[in-house]
Amino acid sequence: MKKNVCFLASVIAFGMMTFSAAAQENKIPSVNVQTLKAWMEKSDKVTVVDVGALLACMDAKIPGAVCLACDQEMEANLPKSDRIVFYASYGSPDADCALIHRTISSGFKDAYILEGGLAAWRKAGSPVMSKKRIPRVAAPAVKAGQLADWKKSVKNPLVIDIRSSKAYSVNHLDGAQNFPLDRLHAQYAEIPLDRSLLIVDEDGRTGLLAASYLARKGFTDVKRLQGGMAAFKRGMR
Amino acid sequence: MRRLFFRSAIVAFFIMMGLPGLVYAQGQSVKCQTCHSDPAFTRGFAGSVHGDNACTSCHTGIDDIVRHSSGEKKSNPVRCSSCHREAAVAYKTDAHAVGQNLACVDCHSRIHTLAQSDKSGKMAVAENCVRCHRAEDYALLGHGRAVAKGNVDSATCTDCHSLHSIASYSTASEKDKAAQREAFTRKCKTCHADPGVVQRNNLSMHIAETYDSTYHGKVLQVGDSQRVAGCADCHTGHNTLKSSDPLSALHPDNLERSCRTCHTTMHKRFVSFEAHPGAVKGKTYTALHIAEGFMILLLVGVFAFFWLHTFLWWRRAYLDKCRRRKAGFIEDTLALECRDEKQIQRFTLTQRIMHIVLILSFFTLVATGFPIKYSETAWSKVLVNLWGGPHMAGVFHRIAALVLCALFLITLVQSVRFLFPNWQFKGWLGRLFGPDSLFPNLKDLKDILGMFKWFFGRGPMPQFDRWTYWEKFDFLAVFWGMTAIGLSGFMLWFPGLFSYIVPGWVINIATIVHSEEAFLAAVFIFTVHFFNNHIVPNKFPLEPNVFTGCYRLDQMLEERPLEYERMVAEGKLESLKREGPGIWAQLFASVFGLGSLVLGLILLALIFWAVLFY
Repeated sequence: MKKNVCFLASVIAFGMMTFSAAAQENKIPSVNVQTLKAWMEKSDKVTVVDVGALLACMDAKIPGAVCLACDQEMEANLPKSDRIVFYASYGSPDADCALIHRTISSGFKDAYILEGGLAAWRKAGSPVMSKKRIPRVAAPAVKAGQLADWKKSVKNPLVIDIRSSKAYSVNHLDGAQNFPLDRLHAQYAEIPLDRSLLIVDEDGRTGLLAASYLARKGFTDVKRLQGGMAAFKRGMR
Repeated sequence: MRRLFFRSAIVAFFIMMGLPGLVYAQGQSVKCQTCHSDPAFTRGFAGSVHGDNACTSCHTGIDDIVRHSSGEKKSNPVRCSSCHREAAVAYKTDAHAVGQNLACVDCHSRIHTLAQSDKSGKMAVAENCVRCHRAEDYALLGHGRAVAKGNVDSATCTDCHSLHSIASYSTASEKDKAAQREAFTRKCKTCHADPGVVQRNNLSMHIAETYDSTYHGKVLQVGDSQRVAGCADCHTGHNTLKSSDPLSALHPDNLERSCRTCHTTMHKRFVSFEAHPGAVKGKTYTALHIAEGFMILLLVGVFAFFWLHTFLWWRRAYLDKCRRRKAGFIEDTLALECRDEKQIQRFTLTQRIMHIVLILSFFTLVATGFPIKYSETAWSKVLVNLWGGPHMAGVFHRIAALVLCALFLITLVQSVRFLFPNWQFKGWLGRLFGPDSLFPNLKDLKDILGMFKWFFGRGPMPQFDRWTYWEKFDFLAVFWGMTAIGLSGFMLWFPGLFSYIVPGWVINIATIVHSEEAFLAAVFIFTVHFFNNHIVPNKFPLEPNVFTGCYRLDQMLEERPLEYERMVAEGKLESLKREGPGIWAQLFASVFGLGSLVLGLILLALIFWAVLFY
């Protein structure tokens, strides 16, 4: 009996140690803006990858950064032995970002996440590069509590949820259609031009970009949900 | 194709006319408008604020008009920063740039027709902002409504948020929230503390000043803005309204909900707390003035008596010393005592330890509390940062307060045990007014009169027993002080909890009592107590017996002759004799005692600095 208990305890301890080591291994270290800038100034052997939506990356990115969405393959010509720093234009890279995990498992040992992403970069007064900036339009915001009024006030309302498919599958507004920001540039043509649109994003940060993009594509009535889904959920509580 | 031909023909015409140099000359914009024929360019631009510029001032890089006309060569991206350098530098870290990558043209969209607005600049700003930000939330009520009515004193968006350097705050970061609160509270004060703005708009003259006098205002000033309410926490960030407006967060119907945002455990009677005490006349206003009046009378009474007492004592001691010098009498030196000399025990080990702990807790309370009381001073933040920042200073203040409360309770127990030894009630009155008691008696009154006579040379110095009247005052002041400062301190520590017992306005009273009583205690200790026990000429620079526990027999005879006689009569003198303090005990007494004196005098100087110059 005593032997069995000892054996069981050893197995549990070993399991916990392995699990914690694995968890440690999967955790990608972060790097702050100052360090990244120092790396970039000292050496060109650092690859910066924007893993946010292509639209956002084209709109503004760290000079020299590569725009690669999470579901894309790492380009073959990127060096494998040097440092690589991932960031997203808005917020932090998705924890499930396949590109980051694939990159690390394919041989990149010196990979980092940029703390605070592009916002931190800009906050530090660093320049950004716009390959194809989307001119912003005045897309008015609709408060969560006024959704019903908005639906009544327009002819053909359509809620466009630009969050990831995963977030959309967890919860979404009644009647909302999912056009993730990552793929909006490829899918916007599926949205009927004669509809009045309401853009729903995660927390109000990317809605204006998407609304401005759609306005450029000919949509005349585009509004945003103020504070995005996060504000809506707060309102529900 | 036809368009291309047309453009080329125009260009060819100019070339043929021999005017190639004019392409970049002053009047060249007219030529641009030949192709760029939108009314914004043809009509609006000349009258716009940029009308004095040529097109090529902004649209640079057109060095080949033929290629440009054919669409082959576009102009360089417009760089507003080449002229608007200051705004461009500020805008680099602006929230719109950081969070949304907004460019100049996104807000200044009608750049080619941008003219001085007929409306006030403030209204034009608000109209531009509400293109994206909901007017209902930001600009229809309060300040926005006043701007719309033409009030140039009222704040438009950029007055609070700034124009091109809007700080980028993250709502998820507590640090950012605190920075935001501090920044906006400062912004509010720029107008609401401006006498001109206040008078013109019939606002309360003391609104900013009274906020600064509260715990909220003081703690925010020393930099702990994470834990207290700034202006926008109660008044909301936008659409600030008078409390009589049912939509206002401060309307009586909404006030409880507003307060509960932070004070989650409060009773509804908490809402009578005045966030701007004394700014508006009313019931609380009267109560506050009564409390303040009482505290001022107490301060004036205590200091008038004891400072006069101290001065007269010092004068008399000084005159005596001069007289003795002239007579050739040599004063005692400050050398250490010899150990072989038997001394008389005055304080037990417990009492000495309690006094040391009392000193430590008292200094902690003063050094952590006064930076809050005088939060506007230059030294406030320095002192707070020595404790590791405002939050840690608050933690130390509360720990020291609990230690002091524990000492107070121990003293209470000791007092009860003194009055009722082994629960014997018989003779308690005699013990209460007896010579070993710290309770005042008739002899103390006679001693006070005798002392004043002595000050003026009209009689001998009174003879004292175990406790003098000023020592009794020190002891009893603690009873009053601890009740007042302790109770008010706990009210300020747990305002929500106390709102179940007392209405909110009592917390305003507690703030006054806590603050003024702290002033009384600190200044009394650092002036009167220090003088009576250490700085008085025959004891200067330190009376160490409260640390060593003993003093010499000749000191006892000089300072407390009645106690000596009583001890001799009762046959107890021998039992009081002890080995004198060793070198280490004396060293500790000197270092700790003198250190405390110096620290106390430094703190006193800081307090007087605040009183005199702020």
